[in-house]
Amino acid sequence: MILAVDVGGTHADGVLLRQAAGGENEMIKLAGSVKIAVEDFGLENAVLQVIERLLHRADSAAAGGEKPLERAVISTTLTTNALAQNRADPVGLILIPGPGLDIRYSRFGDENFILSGYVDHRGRIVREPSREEVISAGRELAGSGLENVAVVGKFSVRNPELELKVKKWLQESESDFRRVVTGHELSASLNFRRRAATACCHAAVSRLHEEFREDIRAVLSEHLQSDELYFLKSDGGTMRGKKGEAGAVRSVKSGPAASIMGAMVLTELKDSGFIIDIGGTTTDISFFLNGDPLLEPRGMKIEWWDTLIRGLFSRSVPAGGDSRLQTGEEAGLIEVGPGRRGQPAALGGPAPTPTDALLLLEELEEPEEAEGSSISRDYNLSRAESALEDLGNVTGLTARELARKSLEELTEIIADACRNIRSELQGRPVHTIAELLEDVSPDPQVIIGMGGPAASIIPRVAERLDLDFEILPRARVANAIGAGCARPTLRTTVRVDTEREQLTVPQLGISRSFRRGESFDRERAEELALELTEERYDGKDAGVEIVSSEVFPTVSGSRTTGEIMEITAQIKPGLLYKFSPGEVDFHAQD
Amino acid sequence: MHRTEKPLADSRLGLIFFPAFDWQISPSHPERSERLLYTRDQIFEEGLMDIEGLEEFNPRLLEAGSVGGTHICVPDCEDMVTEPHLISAGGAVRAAELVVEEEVEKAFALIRPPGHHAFRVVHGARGFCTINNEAIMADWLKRRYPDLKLAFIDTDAHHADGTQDIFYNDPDVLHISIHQDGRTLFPGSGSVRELGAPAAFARTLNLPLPPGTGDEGFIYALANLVLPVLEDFQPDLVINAAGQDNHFSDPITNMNVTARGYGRINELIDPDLAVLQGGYAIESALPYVNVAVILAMAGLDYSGVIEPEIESGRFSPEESVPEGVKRSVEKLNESWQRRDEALLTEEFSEVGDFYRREKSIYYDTDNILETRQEHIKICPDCPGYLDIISQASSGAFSGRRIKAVSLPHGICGDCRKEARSRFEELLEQEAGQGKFDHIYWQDRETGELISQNI
Repeated sequence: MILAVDVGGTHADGVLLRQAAGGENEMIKLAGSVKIAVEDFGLENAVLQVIERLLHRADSAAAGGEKPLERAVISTTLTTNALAQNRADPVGLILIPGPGLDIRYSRFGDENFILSGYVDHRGRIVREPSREEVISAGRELAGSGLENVAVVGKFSVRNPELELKVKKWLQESESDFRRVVTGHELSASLNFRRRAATACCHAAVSRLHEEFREDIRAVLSEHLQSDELYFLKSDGGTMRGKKGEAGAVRSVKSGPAASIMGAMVLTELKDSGFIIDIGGTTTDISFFLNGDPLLEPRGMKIEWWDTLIRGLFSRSVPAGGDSRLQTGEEAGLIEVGPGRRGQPAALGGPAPTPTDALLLLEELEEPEEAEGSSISRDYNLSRAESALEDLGNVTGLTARELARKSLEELTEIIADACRNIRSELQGRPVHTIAELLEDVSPDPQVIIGMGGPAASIIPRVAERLDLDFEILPRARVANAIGAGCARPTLRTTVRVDTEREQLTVPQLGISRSFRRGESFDRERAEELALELTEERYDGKDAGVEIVSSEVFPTVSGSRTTGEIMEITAQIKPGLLYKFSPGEVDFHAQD
Repeated sequence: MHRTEKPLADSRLGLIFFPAFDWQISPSHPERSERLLYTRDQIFEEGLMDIEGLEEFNPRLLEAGSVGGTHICVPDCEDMVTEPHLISAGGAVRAAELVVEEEVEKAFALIRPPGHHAFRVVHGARGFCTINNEAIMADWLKRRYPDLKLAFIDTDAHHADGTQDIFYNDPDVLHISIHQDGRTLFPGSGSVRELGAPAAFARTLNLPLPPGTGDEGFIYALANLVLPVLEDFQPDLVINAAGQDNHFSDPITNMNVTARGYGRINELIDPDLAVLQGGYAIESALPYVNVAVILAMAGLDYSGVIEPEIESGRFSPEESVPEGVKRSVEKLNESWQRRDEALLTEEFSEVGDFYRREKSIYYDTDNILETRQEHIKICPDCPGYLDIISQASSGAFSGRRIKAVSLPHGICGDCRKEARSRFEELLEQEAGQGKFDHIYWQDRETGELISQNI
């Protein structure tokens, strides 16, 4: 069985999944689910509670003796929240920038040191920092009580030696640090400033994440086979909670990823289109291109900071089912959100919301949920109507007219966001003639809608944008199922410079000269990237593929002197299992 | 963690960065796939694309037919011009479009291949250029805004002979080229005595610099010649033809400018548009120069952009501004002061109602030799139409002779009529005689090019 937990804005959802009896290995069905309100428990405890309740069910379902769980997957907002609410650890940042853009834009640490020395774009070390500088910086950081340090140099993904040297000197010194993070281990992409921010984010939440992981492991120890605890990453793949895997920063903002994996579980993504999840106060919109969820092109934004972490493309508009309705500046204009004054009036809230409008117009589809949760779902139609009437009186509209206008406004807000996303994606810069001529503009055909008001709002949005649509059967629990079915993913980048006879694999901290007799062409480099990725995957069903493959000749005078190759191989995000919904009833159980 | 601000540009900057990685003249030619590779790496690693207020755009793909408004390609544009050329010119046009439509305040087209060595008549490729990307951009602008005044400041190490030629007779386009002295470097031209056709006298200014000139020499030239002239001319748009081969490490030239020097040059010129031209020190110069130029155009501090070669002490700055430069600047200022006098320079002679000029042009890339005779109608109301005879020969073709009638921007009604009847006379004559292989009619205002093959 598989245990999966996803924490959304207000609730923690957990599911148990079991291989479908007699079906192929890949089919999986729901064996139980739990939903609790976060505010009743606090985030960490909510997760542990969900796990405990699920384990209880798992026990009763297990054949005696054997450990019933083959894996557990957790998707939480713990680290995101810590960074947002300033509860993360302070960080010392040591930079090896060399010349270039003013370094003040990269001083993300609570304390920052700039070392001398640097690496150039070919990965050549132009100058090395001195051991004395490093020891001295370490001493000051330790003296300030900083336990977590990030070391980041420009072009360290071309040559990690300087970062590794500085880390070694720090660890050998008398200053004692809990964690020294190096920039090159977190991403193989270029962008020094983002690398510095990424390394700091990781150092800041690493302890929190590790402690959380240990707490979870403790609760699961009796039930989970070996080390099969995973965290969902922001790119929709999972990673093992292992030391040295930078899980802390990669699992930030896994929420939208769980939502997209949830959609993938319930339907097949064909061609291109939008995935729209209409929530209480926000609507999240993501995009899939030729069947694959689209990634954020340069990396995720984590709270304030732009990072290099791979994440699924997602845009949020501050409008949803519970948004407050108010009159706009112009006569007859109704505004939907931002902000929420409380529950819908139909549930006893202080003011009308789109949910009330849907109720009045008899379009509300009843969401499942919440036996045993603290929210009651008895909708009072007359309360909804009078709340809408009151607001309508201010603008001279009847309750029904106001209801219609509010839904139109909500529709337009979402449709407009979709249009903006479409233009954003169309203008994507390309750098080769082939790509420019090919015109790889995304051409969305469909909207996949989820969430409370989706059944009535999404068709309206689809009409406005002239797209097809599909409404997924509800369930927040789909996100947890998505997390449970997500496959482990990783990337390996192999960089070969045959002129300098250098091989670099930043994810593995490899940076060495060619061995005697060793040589590379594109084929060999691609082979190596695929091999290393499979080795690191350490699981079943690898499905490795080449993501990018770039080869340039180097020329001196008029002779070709070598080649620079950069190959990236990956196990791409997807589902390990197919979900068999026939047996599911989506109501939360406890 | 600190909530450190990202860099903020003080004017909205559009960047058209099109390295055309899948195109080259040949694998070991300076214009090869690798040319902007390290520049891309440096720009990405410095995080320049994250600058608030900087946005990246794609070039347009121009149609081959639209080139005829600027060039007379022999035998025709469609045969000679390929997609990479149309995209490079399309990058310059897009940059101009972004600025005039106010989507951005400034734009930098970091594109290849270059264009400033392509003349009005094109028999083949020279100086790595086939068509003139910046001239096509300028004509595109003038077709939309006929009264537009443009100023080109070409800071490439090579004399911008092609662009100069295309606007030699246009009083509304100022063309200033600062370059390594033509006596020491291709294309050999660009002396202080080349001052434009009489109708556009002193709207062409050339400042040759001795080999070894560096940051100081350039800054002197800008401060004492270029900026005062721009102040007088009051252009609507300033275009920097930004070749990067004045860098001290460039393999083809002998100049001594640094990346920070380039930043300063751009800062002083303060162009609305910058278009990359030459520059082939692809590892040691281009990455750093382009970072400095982008930062300068964004109004950000570029003083930290220092090449590794400077760090390792392999660079020594020039001693002081050469005396020769100071004298040339003085001479050019004198010419500029007389710009309203429509003087006849030694290049031109007066023949009846026309100014006449002869020129020979060598195409190094394709080994073609062209000789040209130009007649420019003398007209008190407009720059006057052009009558061009051009003959070319090379190893590849035995010889061809063409004639073209070309109408400039701002042509007056009378000249247009006269040019028309002249062209029709020509067609009649040619029907019998066959002195020319091709005859062309070019209207720079409408972009029309008609060719008659005989």
